[in-house]
Amino acid sequence: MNDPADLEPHTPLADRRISRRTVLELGAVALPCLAGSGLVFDWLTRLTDAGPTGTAEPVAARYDPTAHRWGFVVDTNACIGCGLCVVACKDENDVPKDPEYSRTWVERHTKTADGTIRVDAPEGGINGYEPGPGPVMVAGSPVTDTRFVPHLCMQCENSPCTDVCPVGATYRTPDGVILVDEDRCIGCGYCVVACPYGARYIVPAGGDARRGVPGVADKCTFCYHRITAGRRPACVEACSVGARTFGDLNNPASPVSVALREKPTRVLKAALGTKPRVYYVGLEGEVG
Amino acid sequence: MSEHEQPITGERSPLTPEPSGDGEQPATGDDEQPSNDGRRLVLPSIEWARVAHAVRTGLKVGLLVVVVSVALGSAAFVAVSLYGQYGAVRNAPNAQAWAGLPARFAGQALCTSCHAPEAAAQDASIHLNVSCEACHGPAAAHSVNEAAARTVVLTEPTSVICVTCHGATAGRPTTLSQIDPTEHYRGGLCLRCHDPHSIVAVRPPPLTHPLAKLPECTTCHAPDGLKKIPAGHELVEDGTCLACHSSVADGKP
Repeated sequence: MNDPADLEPHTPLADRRISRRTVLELGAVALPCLAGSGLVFDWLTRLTDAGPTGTAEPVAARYDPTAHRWGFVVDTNACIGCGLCVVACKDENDVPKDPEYSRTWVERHTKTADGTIRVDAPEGGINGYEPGPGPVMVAGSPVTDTRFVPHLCMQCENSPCTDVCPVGATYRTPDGVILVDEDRCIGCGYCVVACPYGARYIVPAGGDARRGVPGVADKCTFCYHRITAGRRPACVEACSVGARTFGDLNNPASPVSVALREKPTRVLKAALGTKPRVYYVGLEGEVG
Repeated sequence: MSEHEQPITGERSPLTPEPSGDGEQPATGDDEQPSNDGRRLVLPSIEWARVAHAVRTGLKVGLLVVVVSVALGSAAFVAVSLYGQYGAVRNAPNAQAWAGLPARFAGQALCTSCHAPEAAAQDASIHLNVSCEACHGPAAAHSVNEAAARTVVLTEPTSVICVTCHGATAGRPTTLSQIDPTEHYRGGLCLRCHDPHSIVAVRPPPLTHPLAKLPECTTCHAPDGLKKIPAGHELVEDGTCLACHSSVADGKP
């Protein structure tokens, strides 16, 4: 029974019950079928006048999404953890005020001499951090470095969220920003789980995200309505210390291009191969 | 099988197109049914039956071709058009909806277009990179709507607003001026000494007499004391007076 020879079909090709005549007849039927299906396809394409590549209307007046490649640089050496970026993001985008719903948030990484990095982010940093000198020792190991690390959607070039979406609701625009089509999203939450950076949430009942409907996924859009109109994202606008830099990676003179040239940067969880478009200055270790 | 009867077979066959293998089954049936014993001899009737069978077979195959063509063609159209429309990378109409939202943070340029004096002072101060809206909140509504004009008036006390950035906190870069809010002027009224738009100290008058061998400040400078403190001056905890009133002209409030 387990002999591999038993699994092989013994019938030679010539003995099978398909005659040459049948093959020729099938071919004679299949050819007009293929030709006819081509005609039907052409006719339907002309009928809907959409073309097989979908729409290509401009996103906004005088804005060409294929001409831009938006990027973001976070300078953790500069961030003071005031949380004004989180407040600005929620004001600009009607993100629910509860700390668990955030398009951007600020963590504090406390590194000790033994190499451990501990992360705290009370209320997502929206109210800043409790003033105080902080601990000198954590778990018997002296604190060597403490810094604030703002988080937001990484707008990955190789984005797990768009891969797992079963209905094609979340997508990347040609300029690299990942958006959610709230009319297609079914709120399954796969993208929330798939995102390695925790950048997504499901709009809660009664939530008033700007275009988010309760029950659908929402996330940072780089303030798509602002950047397509030549403005900077609200969090960048609100940052007083220049910890957040936004710009066009295609433009060598843009602030992000300059920052990437002049400062050593890294991306979070680079080993995952997600190719984020948010770069970090001054960050060490593997906590992302 | 009842389908061996020719009329039924003839009527059913156009309505139920079957794979071409089925086309051969009635063929032998047609040949055998009418003349089981002498089909090779009665040539004219066999020829007519074959013509009729050929026509029926042709109709069946034609119908099959049309059905399969329409199915394949529409499936290909749906697949291809949806691929462009709902692919992972797309320039979707939905992106236009996202791009069409009005901005609430107006930007520094709009603020300075009206509030030039504050902007000029701030540009000369260390706060030059602090956006107006960082403290005052989104200003787009404020700029267009009279009713919303006061949305940018700060309502929180400065002890909260200023300490948001300037409270000494673990992890905060040391390049930033930081105070311990429990030590630095516990009265908590930052604007009494600091102008956030210029950072030039608005210093209260320095002491004109020595403090040695004197009782507490409020002994004389109570609201109804020997030398009253000015009207509107907040009563602060005793011992914090010197945080602002200094006899040392160091220029550091």
